[in-house]
Amino acid sequence: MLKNILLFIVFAVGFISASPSGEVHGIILTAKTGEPLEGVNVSIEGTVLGAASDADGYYRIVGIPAGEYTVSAYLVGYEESQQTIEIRVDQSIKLTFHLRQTVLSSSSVLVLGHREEIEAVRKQPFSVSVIDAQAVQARAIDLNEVLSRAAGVQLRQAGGTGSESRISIRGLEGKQVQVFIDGRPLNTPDGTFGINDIPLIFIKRIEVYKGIIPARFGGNGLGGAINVVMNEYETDYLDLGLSRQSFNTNNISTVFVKNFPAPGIKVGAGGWFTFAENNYTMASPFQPGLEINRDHDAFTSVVGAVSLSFSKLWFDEIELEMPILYGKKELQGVQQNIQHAQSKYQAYVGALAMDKTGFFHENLDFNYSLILPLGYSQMVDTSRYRYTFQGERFLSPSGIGELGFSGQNSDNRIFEGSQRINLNLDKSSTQSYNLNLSSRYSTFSPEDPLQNEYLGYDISQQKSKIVSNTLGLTHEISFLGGRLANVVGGKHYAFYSEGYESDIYGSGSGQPPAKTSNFVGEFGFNNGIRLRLNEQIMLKFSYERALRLPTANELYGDGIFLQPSPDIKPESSHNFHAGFLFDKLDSHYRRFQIEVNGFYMRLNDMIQLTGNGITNGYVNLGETRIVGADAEIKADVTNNLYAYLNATYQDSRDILEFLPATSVPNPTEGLRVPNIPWLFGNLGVEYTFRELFGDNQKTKVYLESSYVEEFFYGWEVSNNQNLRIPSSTEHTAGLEFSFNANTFFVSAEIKNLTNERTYNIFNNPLPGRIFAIKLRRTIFGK
Amino acid sequence: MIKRNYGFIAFLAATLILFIACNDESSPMDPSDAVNDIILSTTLGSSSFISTIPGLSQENVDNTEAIETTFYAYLFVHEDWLFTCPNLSGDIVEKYNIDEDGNLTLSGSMVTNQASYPSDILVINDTKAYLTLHYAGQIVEFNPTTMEQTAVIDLSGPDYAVEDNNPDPTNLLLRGNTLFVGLAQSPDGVTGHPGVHLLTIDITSNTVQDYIIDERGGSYCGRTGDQSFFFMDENENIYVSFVGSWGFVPGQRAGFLRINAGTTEFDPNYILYLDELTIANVDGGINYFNQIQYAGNNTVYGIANVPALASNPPDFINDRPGAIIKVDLVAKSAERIMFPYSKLLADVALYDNKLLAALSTTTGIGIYTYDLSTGETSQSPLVNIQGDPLFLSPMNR
Repeated sequence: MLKNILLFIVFAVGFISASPSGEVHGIILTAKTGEPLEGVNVSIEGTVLGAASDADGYYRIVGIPAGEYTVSAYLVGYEESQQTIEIRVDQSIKLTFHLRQTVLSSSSVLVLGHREEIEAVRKQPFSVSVIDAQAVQARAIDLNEVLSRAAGVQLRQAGGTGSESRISIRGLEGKQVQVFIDGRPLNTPDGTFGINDIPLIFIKRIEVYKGIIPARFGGNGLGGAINVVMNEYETDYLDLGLSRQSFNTNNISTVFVKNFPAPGIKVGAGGWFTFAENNYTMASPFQPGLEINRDHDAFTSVVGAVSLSFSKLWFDEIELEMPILYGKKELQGVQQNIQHAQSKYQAYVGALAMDKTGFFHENLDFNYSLILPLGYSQMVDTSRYRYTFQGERFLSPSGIGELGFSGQNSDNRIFEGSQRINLNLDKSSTQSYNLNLSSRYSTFSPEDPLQNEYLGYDISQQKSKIVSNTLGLTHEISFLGGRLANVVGGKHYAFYSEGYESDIYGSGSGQPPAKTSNFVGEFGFNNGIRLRLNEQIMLKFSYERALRLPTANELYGDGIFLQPSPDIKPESSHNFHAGFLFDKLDSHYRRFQIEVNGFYMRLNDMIQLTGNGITNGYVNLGETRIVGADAEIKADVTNNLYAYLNATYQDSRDILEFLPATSVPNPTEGLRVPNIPWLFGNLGVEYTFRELFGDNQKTKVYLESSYVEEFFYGWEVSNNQNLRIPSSTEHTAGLEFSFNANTFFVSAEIKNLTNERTYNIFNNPLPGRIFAIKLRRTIFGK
Repeated sequence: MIKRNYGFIAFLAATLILFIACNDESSPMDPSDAVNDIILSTTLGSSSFISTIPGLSQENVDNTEAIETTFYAYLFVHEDWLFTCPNLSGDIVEKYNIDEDGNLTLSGSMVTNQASYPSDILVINDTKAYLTLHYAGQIVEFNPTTMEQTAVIDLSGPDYAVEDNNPDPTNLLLRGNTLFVGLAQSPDGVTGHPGVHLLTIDITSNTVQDYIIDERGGSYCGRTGDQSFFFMDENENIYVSFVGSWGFVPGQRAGFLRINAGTTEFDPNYILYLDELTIANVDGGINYFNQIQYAGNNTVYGIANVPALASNPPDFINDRPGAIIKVDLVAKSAERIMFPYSKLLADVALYDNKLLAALSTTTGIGIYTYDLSTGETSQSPLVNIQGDPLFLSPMNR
């Protein structure tokens, strides 16, 4: 019923605003390069009529009564352009605008349009891919699917929507890859919330840093990072999105922003609701011939947020935001049938952001953010029964619980306060300094009466705490009229944690483990050089000494089977990168890009899980060398046909000569590090029909394919290596209609067209063919 | 002149090699002629590798022809059959035939309850065998020739389980028609409730005869994945090894109990606590065995944990707390076989009048030897292997 009501609302809103009359349409281009400009507000002066240009620079305004008007085109960072027209009923007038960039009076920093922001990020001296999320917001896909199309990136996912996933960038995975939202590290200690939970309509772009993480970001990682840049809304705005796909996967999302220009106040509200049943059928990877219907894999994510911002105070902008998050995940068993166990979380967040250009100095910009999330996570595993996949029920061998040796009924409290102070000084038009301080204060307070009973002591005494500061200083300078640029950055990591050093030979004594602490102070460093040989060709070189600090779990274990390792050192790496970019825009505004990157990384003191046959713990064990290359070609074959192709080869090898603390040669020296994809690629074509089904309409058809070569789960030492993740080829076909100058979208696509059985985590089958549909309506604003 | 001398030396060496190869019967065999007669399993990362090797004839063996399984596949050898449980805590039992050359050929498999953790196999004859399911609290009777399940003895529930519903069956041993079944009574897979718990089952009816508990300070009866923790001496006395919760619980001790021939009760006059043994060259003694091998004449060899060498919490890089210990079960005496200290991932076996010890030491990883007649003890591996050792067994032919 709810679904039908929403469908009605979305369609009704779409058609109400499409009444016939005179119209203006055309394209917006930059005056300098002639590139299309997206997001330009085009308005008819003296009326409420207006539109925004789409990703190709096109706009259309309909329903204009006959008369003489001034048409204005405006985008932040550009001079406003106006043209006068006289329009008659049923007349269609084409107007082209060429906008010039402006320089804000209070700062020498250019405020760039959306497309140019992307280009600016892409042209940093570091290896970075930028994904324009706005270009795919109409599609029924999630962030993980978008990321997996990028060169050098793989998504390792255990199942359907909401399942465990980890991002792999150039062979670095999981904790080695840092995730940022708007430049702030995303710290969710128990993995309750991931970036993939964020619907694309909230995202402006995704920056994928491959090898080097700019020092202006806080956090730590071995060189791979994802920075999700969220949308900002400069105008009044209302957007509704609804998607539905196979396995009862549904998402509803909305954003509303209202500006009050006179007092300089903006209010906003938004949120999403995602529910996925994930009830696909899979072949058991454990029992031959057993087909399993995943019936305990439902995922729910609900987020609501309100915001209030002020733009006419001493600060350029002060924004207060209060999101509330709720999530629930049933735990699907693969080796055994799980019917009741589930995890849940709730989080209440207060966020403050303040920006000031000309901060006590005309060339100094200040940016501050404070985030105060209080979260609660629960693991509920209280069933007194267990089940077989054949439907038989039997008493839980452990008395209570389906998952392990004891039941769980936890209610953990997590506080994750973080702040970021960023100062940017433009010393001259060619030189700038950036100072960034990211601080984090995190506490974890466990509660679980069942675990208390099982362990024989009160685990609520085992609180842990993390205090960390990451200080980064960046100097950027350009020469030769901007053709040569150098960015050098240094970071200092200070990481203090408190936890418990459990006495493994004292279990059963009823005594809680003793408290302990750990401090790490380390330096990191990076440098990037960019050389523009001419308008089309650019070279990049960069180096970073990167660090990943151990997590609380790695340091202190779980107090039961995972033993504490309080003395482990941070992982470190030396990352080198060289890149070549060719970027040509022809006289018909058709772009042709080639990007080729080579990289070398040497990883030391890798933190790995090991054991002695009875217990497990983390150690600094491995040394690895990763050499590889990725290449990508993007081309506007015609003004309507776009194609891309990328491929990645990454060869990750064990280079440890002798086993640690021994004179014994390492038996895996020189072998490829297992369980990491080493060869993969993507290709896609997209054809756009303009006004195929009437005025003001655009139709896009696309086909995308991805390929991952087979890789082994274990070290490749045998001719009978049978634990492997088989090669996979997946195709996605889609159709997207946009109406009313890109304010109303309907899209449909089929993922995994050939219904191939795929894995990208060992023994975790992924869904087969998926049908998806999405409706999106931007009721007003851009 | 120099060239001429080198040529002479080479000639002498070649002659010597030829002489040794032709005339010395105690010399190592030509590797190309040797028959694979030892089963070896090692672990590398997340996988284990099962292979057969030609005795001690090759200085270096690798896993090129090995069968890969996930970490720590349990292995059980019965004559020309090798049973494996390729997923630890999983639900598959596979059977390989061992041919004359020591090659392994998959000849059958059996699926048990999901995640039931097959943990010991005892073959009675060609048509009857028993399998313990550690997590399911069951014993499965099956036909080892066809690998078909024929019956289930369900031990789960309050009758035999302490505090939960699973008595955690471990080892199996048959004497007459009585099957002796060890119960770990473990709440967490590692530690056990106090006492050494054991069931006796009549295999003619597959019914439980008796549930016996010895409460003299031990815990965790038997060991999953290692048949040798229960054994019978030449006089049909049964020795039951208990691991004392692997040293995790203060006050719970490891050692041996005995069930004398003709009885089905623990001998109240016999118990051997490992921590009471005085062992030369082992400061502080030992507290449990991780692998053992009965060698006859009341003698057991095993790899034991030396608490004084084990860090707390464990130092997985530097710790080598494993010592090979020889125990006289009747005299209650022990001595250390002077191999280098090893990780506890190790195994021992008897072969050609030698004790073989597959060890992971700071100077070598491979098979060391102890001559049972002369006491000669190697200080480096005779056979270097690829990965930490998990299992070592000569083929029973």
